[in-house]
This record gives sequence, structure tokens and C-alpha cells, in this order.
Amino acid sequence: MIKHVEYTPEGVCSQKISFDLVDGYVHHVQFVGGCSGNTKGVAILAEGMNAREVADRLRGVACQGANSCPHQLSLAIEQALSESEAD
Amino acid sequence: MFFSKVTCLPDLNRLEIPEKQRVIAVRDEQIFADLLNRHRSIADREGGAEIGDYVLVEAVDARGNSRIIHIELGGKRFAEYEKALIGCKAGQEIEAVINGGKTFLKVRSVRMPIEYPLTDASIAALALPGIATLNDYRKAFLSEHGTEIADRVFRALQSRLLDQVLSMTEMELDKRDADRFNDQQLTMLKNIQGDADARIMKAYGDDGKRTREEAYQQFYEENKRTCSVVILGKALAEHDGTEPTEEQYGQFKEYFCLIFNKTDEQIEQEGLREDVLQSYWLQYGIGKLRTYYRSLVQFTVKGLGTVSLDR
Repeated sequence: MIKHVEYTPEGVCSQKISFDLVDGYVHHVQFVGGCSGNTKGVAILAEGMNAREVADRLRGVACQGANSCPHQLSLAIEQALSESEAD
Repeated sequence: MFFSKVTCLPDLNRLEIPEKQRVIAVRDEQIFADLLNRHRSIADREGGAEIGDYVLVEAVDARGNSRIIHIELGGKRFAEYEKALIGCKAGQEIEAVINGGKTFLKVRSVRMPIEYPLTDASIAALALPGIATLNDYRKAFLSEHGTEIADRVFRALQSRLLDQVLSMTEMELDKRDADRFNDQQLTMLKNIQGDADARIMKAYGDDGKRTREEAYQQFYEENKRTCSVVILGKALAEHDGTEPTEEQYGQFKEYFCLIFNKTDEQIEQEGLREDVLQSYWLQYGIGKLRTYYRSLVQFTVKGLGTVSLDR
């Protein structure tokens, strides 16, 4: 399975998260907005990683209360994986 | 209550909008992006890995540390791995130098992305209602998304177009209206943001190059311009005989009460109906301009030439 995902995060500084899901691995993560250095760092570290592992690691990372751009990425990945399983 | 007067409404037909701002190129990459994404697939590659392929590799370094990485060849995120893996096959094991050290790479899989072909036959095979060719798909896309694309371009042009419209309008902007509008914007900033002064200095202080007085003056000038657009919107609505419905008025009133900490009773007692309707008139004026812009917009699309926005 190969799929491009665009996700609108909620409650954080970034306005859009996009990535490719290829056979359950994450590629080309991009954040629009948010803290530039931090989000670029997350994107680089997530490249080529197992999607479930990325989601598990980033879930619950707190910045704005209990929310953050990495947490929103984990939600985006989980949603994409659920949709793929349903297809 | 507003004291300003509009003595001559602008003739939108006299607006100068360069061709490049009203003829929008819509590329196939945009039109077919969603379709390609839904129908893209991936399959095992029989031969050696090529640029664009995805390779799942177990990397074991000299200390025995192992990690699984999924690498896109040509993605340039794992340059040394990518260079070593070109031409490798699934099941192969190779030795490479990564970060100056020996690393064993066990290739678990090599997969190649397969793009959905864009031909009339492949579009017909999707059996979409009323869509049998590439051009049918392009027309359907424009029908569904044309307005949204035009509005996006309009938003980028809005400020310049409003400047033109205001210059074509004969208006006597009363200082009492401009001052009251400015005070309301200041109150709104304080109520929403807390530290209005810091916000104004950040937005208008030009990184400390302007004094506090200059920054506040810039804030005032911008508000004066917005107030002019409100006055124009009011005049246009009156000319068109258009008024908000009771439901619309109720929504604007609720918003106004929230922002300015007012009750319904205070709105009535203090005669603030026109203040409540400022947002309505602002939207009305911009809406008229947007509708006019939409009437001019054309799209250039491969296979279709130049087409107008469906209305």
C-alpha cells in the first residue's frame, strides 16, 4: 500500500501535516507552520520508520496542554492506518 | 450610528485586473492528484533496486546494533545507504560504509511504486458517472473546485483590489467613525489578546524601527482603511436593498457581545445596531468584489484550452 496523507491538526500551531505511508512505513513528513526546527527534526527522525512505532512514540507528547504537533502527527498516522485497514 | 457618506459608488467594471491575475493555470498534477493517490499501488521488484524504489533493510553496525529502516532510493534522506542499495535484490546481504563504519545491510524487500496510468481508457475503467475521458475528468474537477481555486487567488489579490475600489469611491469618511472603529479594534485586541500594546508593537513596530506613536498611527491608518470598506459595504447593501435576516443579525450580535462583553439589552439601549452590522457590511462589500472577480476568472487547462468559471 502506498498513500499520500494530508491532515489538518487541531489545537496546535501547525496548520497542516502531510506524509506518505508506504507499506506501513512513514516518509516525507512535512509540517506547515509550527516550530520550524522542532517539526523538521521530527520529520527527519520519522523518515523510514515503522508508522505504528512513530505513532506510539509521539502519542501524548505535550506542548499546548496535553497536545502538540508530534501528538497530532501520531493521530494523523493512526487515522491513516485505520483507513487503510478498512479499505 | 455612522456619520460618513458615500456620494458615488465605484463602477467595478472599471477595475484594472491584469490578465495574469484573472487567468488561472490549473495543472494536471492538481486535477489528478487525488485520483492518483487513491489508485497508486506498490509491488515487488524482480530485478535490482532502482531510484524511486522502497527498500526495507536491516542494518547491523560493527557493534552489533541492529535497526530496521525503510529507505526510499533517491529520497536523499539516507544518502550512504541509498548509494549502497542501488541494484540490490530482496534477500541480498551487502557490506557498506555508513558514517565511517562497516555496516551489514540485509535487504528484506525491494518494492516499486506503480502510478495509475492517465489515459482515456484508464479513466473510463473507473466507471465514474458522466466521466469517460481525461477531458471529462478535467471538466468535472473544474466544476467542483473552480470556485474554490478562484477564491484562493482572490484572497491573495483582495487587498490590492480593495485599494483600487476605494480609490474609485467618492466617500466623506467622518473622523468620528474612524476614531470609534479604531477604539473598537483596540478594545477587541485587549479583550482577546490581553496585552494589546505588545501586539501592536509586534505587528506595526517594524522590529523596533518605529516609535510607539508611529506604530499606533500605523494601526490607526489600517483601521481607517477597514472602516472605509465597512462604509462602502453599507452603501452597496443599501443601494442593492439588501439587509441581513434576523438570524444573520442574531449571529453578528452574538459575536459582538462576546468580543465586547455586551448584553443584548446593552446593544439596544446604547443604539449599537450599526456597530453590530459592521462585520455584515464588511463581508457584503468584499463579497460583491469577490463575485465580480469570479465573473472574470478563466482557467487554462490542458486539453480544454481556456474556460470560464461555471456559474
